Amino acid sequence: MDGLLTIAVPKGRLLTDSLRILELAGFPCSIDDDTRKLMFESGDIRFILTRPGDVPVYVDYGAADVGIVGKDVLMEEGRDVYELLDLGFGFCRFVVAAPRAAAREASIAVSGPGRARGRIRVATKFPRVAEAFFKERGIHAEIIPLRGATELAPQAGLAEIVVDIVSTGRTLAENDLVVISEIGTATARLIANRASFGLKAARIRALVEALRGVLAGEAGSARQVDSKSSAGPGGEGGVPR
Amino acid sequence: MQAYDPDAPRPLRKMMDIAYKFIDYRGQVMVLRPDMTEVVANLASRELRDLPRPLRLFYSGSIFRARRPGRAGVLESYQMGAELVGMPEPEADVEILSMTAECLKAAGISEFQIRLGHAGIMEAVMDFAGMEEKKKAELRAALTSRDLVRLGHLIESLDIPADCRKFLEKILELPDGRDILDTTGKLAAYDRSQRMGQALSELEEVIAGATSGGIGGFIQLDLGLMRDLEYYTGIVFEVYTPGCGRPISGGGRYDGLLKILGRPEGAVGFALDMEEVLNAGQR
Repeated sequence: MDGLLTIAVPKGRLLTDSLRILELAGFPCSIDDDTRKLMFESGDIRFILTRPGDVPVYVDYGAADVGIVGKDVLMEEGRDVYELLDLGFGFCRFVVAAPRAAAREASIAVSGPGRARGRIRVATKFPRVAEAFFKERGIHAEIIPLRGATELAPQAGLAEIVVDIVSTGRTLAENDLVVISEIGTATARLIANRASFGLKAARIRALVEALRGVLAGEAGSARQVDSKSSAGPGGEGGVPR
Repeated sequence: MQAYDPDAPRPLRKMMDIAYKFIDYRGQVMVLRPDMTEVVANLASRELRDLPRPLRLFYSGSIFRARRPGRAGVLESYQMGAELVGMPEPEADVEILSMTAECLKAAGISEFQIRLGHAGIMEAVMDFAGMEEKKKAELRAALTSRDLVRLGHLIESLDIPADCRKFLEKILELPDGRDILDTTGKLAAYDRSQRMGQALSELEEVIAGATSGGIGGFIQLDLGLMRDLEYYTGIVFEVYTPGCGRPISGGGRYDGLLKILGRPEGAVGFALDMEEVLNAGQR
């Protein structure tokens, strides 16, 4: 029942790291940049390149057996997929942010129910995550879903605050926004279709083991570098891959 | 249609949550039938309570469940199934598993996998680890969505010997060969209540029965299998076939449900999702 193993890989900010870890694990995917092909086969592995938000969709329906996707997307999509492994890369934080000038008022507004003067409007690319956050705190907020560039919304007068992911925080800073609350953190995950999880168990196990090996190797070499640098200069080896 | 029961006992509450609700002419909240097993269990424990056991019932009909936003699935599905009430354990379980396999073969599906687990094992583990109800709910949710990352963190936080943590990680991780039973046996040895061991030997008897019944080759053990509905107390299973991303059939033992309904006796059953079965049979 094993046959072809289809791996969904997200385009965008996780692409490079995804391809790198797959290659280190012995699943190289040679993407031909010149063509617009989104499907590549090598041996009995098929790679499909999709928008990050579509990876869980392909996996949920079984069009892909496994996929790599950010926990942020998983939290937003809420799909029925199995989550197998934390791949460690693509770290970002889910935050609530507001314009610096209005940060104090916004912090008070999100601190609990009934603290806001009037209704809060929240611009976000993650409406479900945002809604869950405000609902849990009992705060009445109007969620305004946007496709991108949420940092623009407060300046343009569309919303008082935004819910977004940040990795370096530069975009926020450039737009004079400050973090007023943290929702959580996210990293890239390996997910699997629930049918494939059993039907292709041996293939998926091999992939998981290989990826784990890469992660353990990286953690090991990172530790080695740490101990070298603390031991002082002049040490050799311990260079991370 | 059924009346909505806001005070439904826990195993049925989840089903009430995902049921479609509306209001009848008296102002009573009604639901569209979200599940067949409950209906049959009700029938067995009330109208048919005086019929001799074992009782073999079958049904076909539509069930309606909320299609959660952003998830695959449909709100109405046509199910056929059978329930076996009042027959001792391993034989009844094996009979239902065999019937499931026979039905699928009759529908033209030759390649399928019955993923088999036992609801009692993880429940015993949770008691053994002294988990509170809130933590249990968290673990059940992580199992249902097979969130291994979260499960890993949860297992790490359990107050159990390090060996047990290792065994637990191993049996929950990925469906594996039969050595999963050995690992579970090692884990069960720590459990003084012996409930884990009891559940395990039930499962072993079912596997032995299924193997001698000729369907052992279809079975894949998965002790982390937790079904969406919470009324299962013994074996649980889901059936998968290549080309279909979700289970085409599922079932299990639900003695606890009949106890709640007032006539404690054993019951086990299965249902086929007929649209998926038809699609798979035509491939």
